[in-house]
Amino acid sequence: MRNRLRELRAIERWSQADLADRLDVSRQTMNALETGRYDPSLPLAFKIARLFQLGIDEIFFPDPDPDPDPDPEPEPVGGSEPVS
Amino acid sequence: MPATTTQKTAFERKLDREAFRDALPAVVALIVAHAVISQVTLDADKHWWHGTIALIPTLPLIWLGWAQWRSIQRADELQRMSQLQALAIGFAVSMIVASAGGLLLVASVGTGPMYLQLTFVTGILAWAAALFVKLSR
Repeated sequence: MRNRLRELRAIERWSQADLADRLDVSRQTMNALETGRYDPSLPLAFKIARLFQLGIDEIFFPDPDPDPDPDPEPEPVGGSEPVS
Repeated sequence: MPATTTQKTAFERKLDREAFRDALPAVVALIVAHAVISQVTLDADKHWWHGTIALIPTLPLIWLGWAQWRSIQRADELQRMSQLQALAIGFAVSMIVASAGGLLLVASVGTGPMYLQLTFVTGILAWAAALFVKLSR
């Protein structure tokens, strides 16, 4: 999982300790979150989203697929046809 | 980018204060109980209740365990996971040392009390080392 925590913290001009205090976590945890070494629980993710007044999906997003399927399965015929 | 400080946050200082407040009386009680017990001569063969008296230092140990439990509950989610992983590592090391000691006793190597102490000490050391490594990352 990747996130925009460092960028959002910079916009607010907060140190890691400032943000950690606002979230009631340790500075080590804040650092682990920012560097992507630790993915937060849902309650903590919601707390972060509320603090920055953003949606969770605007802060956290999945890593790009490192090995995308080079030969994806063809979609079933008519499966994605618009209904007229 | 704002400077990254290495100072403890207010949250961490609060955790430290509360952990210290919970654990200090238990540690003092443990030291006093051990000091008192080591000064008296106990013989459960003559007086059955001497065995009960010998167990008194386990009470502050239980108190210390409760303080540790409270500390884990107050910690944030990553710290809590790290502390529980460190406890699991300490427990696993203790079990391995206890098993190895038991097997060596079968071969008449060493004594039971020696392996009991070794199990306790290696478990505590493994727990402390794992905790240090996990929380200093």
